[in-house]
Amino acid sequence: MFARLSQRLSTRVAAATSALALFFVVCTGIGAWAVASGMMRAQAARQVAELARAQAAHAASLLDFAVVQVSPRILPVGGVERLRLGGVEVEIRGLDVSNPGDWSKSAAILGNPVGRLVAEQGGRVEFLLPAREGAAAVEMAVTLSALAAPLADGGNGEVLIRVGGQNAHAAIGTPPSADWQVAEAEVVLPQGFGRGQLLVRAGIGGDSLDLPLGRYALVLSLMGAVAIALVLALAVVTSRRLTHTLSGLADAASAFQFDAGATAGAGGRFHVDGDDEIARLGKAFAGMVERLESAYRDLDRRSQALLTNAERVAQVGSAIWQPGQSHQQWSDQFHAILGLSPADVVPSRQVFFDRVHPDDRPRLAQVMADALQPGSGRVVMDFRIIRGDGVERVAQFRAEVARDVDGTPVRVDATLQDITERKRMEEQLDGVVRDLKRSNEELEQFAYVASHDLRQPLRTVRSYLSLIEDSIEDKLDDETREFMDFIRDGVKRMDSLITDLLAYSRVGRRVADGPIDSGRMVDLSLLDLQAEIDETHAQIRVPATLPVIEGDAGEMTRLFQNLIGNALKYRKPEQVPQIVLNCADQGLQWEFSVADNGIGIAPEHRERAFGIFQRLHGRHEYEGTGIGLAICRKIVERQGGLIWCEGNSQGGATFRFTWPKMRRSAVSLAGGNLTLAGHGDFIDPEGHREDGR
Amino acid sequence: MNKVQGNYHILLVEDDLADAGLVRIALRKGRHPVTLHHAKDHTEAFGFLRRIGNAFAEAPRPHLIFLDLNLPGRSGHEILQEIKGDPNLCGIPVIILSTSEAERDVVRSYHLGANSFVSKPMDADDFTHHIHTMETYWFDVVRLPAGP
Repeated sequence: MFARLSQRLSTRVAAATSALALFFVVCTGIGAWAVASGMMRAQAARQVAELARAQAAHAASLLDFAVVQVSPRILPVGGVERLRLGGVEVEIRGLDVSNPGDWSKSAAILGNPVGRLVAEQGGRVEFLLPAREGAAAVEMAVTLSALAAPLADGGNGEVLIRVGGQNAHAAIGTPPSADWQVAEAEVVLPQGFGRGQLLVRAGIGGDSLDLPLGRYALVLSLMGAVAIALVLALAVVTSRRLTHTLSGLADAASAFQFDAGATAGAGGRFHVDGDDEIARLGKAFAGMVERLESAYRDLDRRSQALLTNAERVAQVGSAIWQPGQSHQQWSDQFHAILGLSPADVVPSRQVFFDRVHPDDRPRLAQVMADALQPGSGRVVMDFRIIRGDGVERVAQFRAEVARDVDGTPVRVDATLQDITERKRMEEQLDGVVRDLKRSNEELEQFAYVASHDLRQPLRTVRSYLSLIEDSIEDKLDDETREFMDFIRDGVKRMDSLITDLLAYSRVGRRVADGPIDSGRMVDLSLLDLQAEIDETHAQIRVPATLPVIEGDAGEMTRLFQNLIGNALKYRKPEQVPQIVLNCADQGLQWEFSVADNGIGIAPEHRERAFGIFQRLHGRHEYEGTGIGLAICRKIVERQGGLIWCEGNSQGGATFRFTWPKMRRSAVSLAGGNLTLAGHGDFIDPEGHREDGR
Repeated sequence: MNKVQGNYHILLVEDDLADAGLVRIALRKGRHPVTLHHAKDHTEAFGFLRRIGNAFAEAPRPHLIFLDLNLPGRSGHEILQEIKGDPNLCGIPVIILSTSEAERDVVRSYHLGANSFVSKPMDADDFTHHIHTMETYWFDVVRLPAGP
C-alpha cells in the first residue's frame, strides 16, 4: 500500500512541478516581452524626436547663419559666394530678378516645398530668397549632406526647408506617415528680404524603430527558451530525485517482511540520504520498520516461551518436517516426551523411530507413509515409546500433511502427546464399566431368579401345607394348628421380602422418563390406597395444582403411594389421620412434602428409616418388610434429588424430597399449548383441595 | 359343546413334581373326566406327541397341553415353537403354566403362538381354582379341533 502511495505521490509531484515551472516561464517571457517592447518603443520615440529636434535646430542655425551672412552683402547679379559651415556647403548666387527665368524661380518658392533631403540620398536644396530693394534676389543652394548624415544613422528621415512667409507652416505639409517623429525650427528672414521665413523640419520614420526592437525580441525569446529549458531540466531532476526516493520507500515497503531470525534492523536494509521532507519521511519509515521488527522479535520470543510452557503443561510436543527429508524440527517438549534433550540430539526420523517400541515401528511407519498418499492427510496413532531411561510410555501421535496446489506433500506438522496416564485411567474406567455391566447383569439375573426360582419352593411349601391341612384337618390339635400358622406366616413373609427386594432392584430399570403430571400421579396413588383411606377416614389435602415434572410415571406413583401409605399406616390409634401434601418451587428444583399427624419418627431413627428392610416397629404393631422408604430413596436419588424426614408441630413426621427440574420439567403440555405450570399458588393453604376419600 | 367321547387328555410338561402333583390334584377335583399325561422334558413331551418308541406307541392325541417354561435342557419356549411349527401339532391349544411373572416371558410366549399364559398362584386353593377355570373354558366354552 505504501509503495502504491509513494509512486502516485512522486508522479503527481513531478507533473505539478513541471507544469508550474512552464507556466512561470511563459508568464515571465510574456511579461518581459511586453515590458521591454513598450519601454523600447518609448525610448526609441524619445531618441528619434530628440534627433529630429537637434537636426531641425542644426539645420535652422545653419540657415540662420547663412541668411545673416548673406543679408549684409547683396551679391551683384551673377556674383557667387560659397560658405562652408561644418559639413554644410552653402552656395549663394546673386540673381537678376528682372530675368523672367530667374524670377519665376523665386516666385515659385513661395508657399511651396523647396527641397527634401532624404537620408540615404543626401542631396542639395536650392531655394530663392526674395530680392531686397535695389539688390538682386539671392539664390541659395544648400548641400545638406552633412546634415543628412545623422538622419542616416536613425534609418529613415528627411529635412524639409520651406520659405513661405506666413504660410510656411501650412506649406510644409504633413509627414509621410503618422509615426514619424517631427521637429521644426524656424529661421526668420532678416529685414529687407520681403516677406517670408524659413522653416526647417526634420523627421524620422517608424521603420527605423523596428530594427532594434526585433533584435531585442529575438534575444529575449532566446533567453526565454533557455530559461524554459533550464526550468524543465530542473523539474525533471527534481521529480527524478523525488520519485527515486519515494520509489525506494515503496520498494522497501514492498520487500518488507518480518524475519524472526534477522538481527539487522531495517536501517541496514535501506538508506535515505539528505534532510528534506522525503528523506525525513524515509528515515521515519526506516525507524518505524526497525521498531516493528523489534516488537515482532519480542513478540516472537514471548510466543515461543508461551508455546513451550503450554506444550510442557499439556504434555504435547510438536514437530515439523518435509517429506523425504531426514532432518526434522522438534519442540523442547517433543524431545522431553521421547526422553531426549535438545542439546544432545539432532532431530531426525531415525532418532524418532529409535525411541518407538520395536513392535510398534512397522505400524507407525505404515501410518506415516499412508498419510502422504493422495487423498489422506491426517493420521492419529497411539504407540509405545521407550525413553532413554528405559521407561515405557504411551504416546499419541497426530500428523497433518500440508500440500501445495498440485497436491504434492510439502510439510508434515505433527504433535506427540504423552497419554500414559490417560490410557491407564481409561483402562481403569473400562474395568469399572465392565464390572458395572457385569454387576447389572448379575442383578438382572438375580431378579429373575428371585422372581421365579426363589419363590417356587415357597409356593410348593405353602401349597402342600394347605393340602396337608385339608386332608388332616380333623386330626389337628390347637398346638399343631398354631405351628402350621407359623409356617404359613414365615412363608408369606419370605415371599413378601422377595417381592419387595425384587421391587427395590427394579427401581431405575425399564423406566420411561418423560414429562409427567405429578398431580395425576398423586391421584393414582390415592386410588391404590382407597381401601386404607376409607378404613381410617383419613383427611388428605392436596394442592389444587401440582407441577409437571420429569420422571417415570410408575416410579412417581410408587413414591407417593409409599409416602402417603406410610402416613396412613403409622397413624396414632386414637386419631383421624390428617395428611398434607405440598410442593414448593425452589428455582432449580421442586420440593415436595408429605406431612402427617401420626406417631412420628424419633430424630435418631430418621436416617435409619431409609435403609433396606429397616423396621422401627415390631411386626405385631405394623405390617411391612421395611423396604418402602428404601425404594423411595432410590427413586428420588436416581433423579438427582434428596429425601429426608423431619418432625412437625403435630408430633407427626414430614417427609420431604427434592426433584430437580429439567428442561422440560417446568413446562406442561396440557391443552396442546406450552404453558408454565403454576408456581406458588398451589402452596397457598386456601388452594388445597380436600380429599375425603 | 365338545363331543368328546370318554376322557379328556391333557399333556403336562413340567419338571417340578410338586407342581405336577398340584395340577393332578386340582384336575382330580374337577368336573371333567381328564387323563393327565406327564412329561418332564422336551424328549418325553415329543416322544408322547409323536408316539416315538414303544412307551408312547399308544399315546393319545392330547386335547390341551399345559407347558411350563423353566425346564431342564430345551426350554418351554423351544418346545412351544416346535409344537406350533409342526402341522400335525399346531392345532392343539397350549397353555403356558409358569411361575414367571416377567413381562418378556409373557410377550414371547404369545409371540410364539401360546393360546394362554397363566401364572402359577402362590396359594394351593387359588391354583385349583385356576385349573378348574381353564377346564371350564377349554372343555365347556371353547370348541376344540377334532384332529390335526
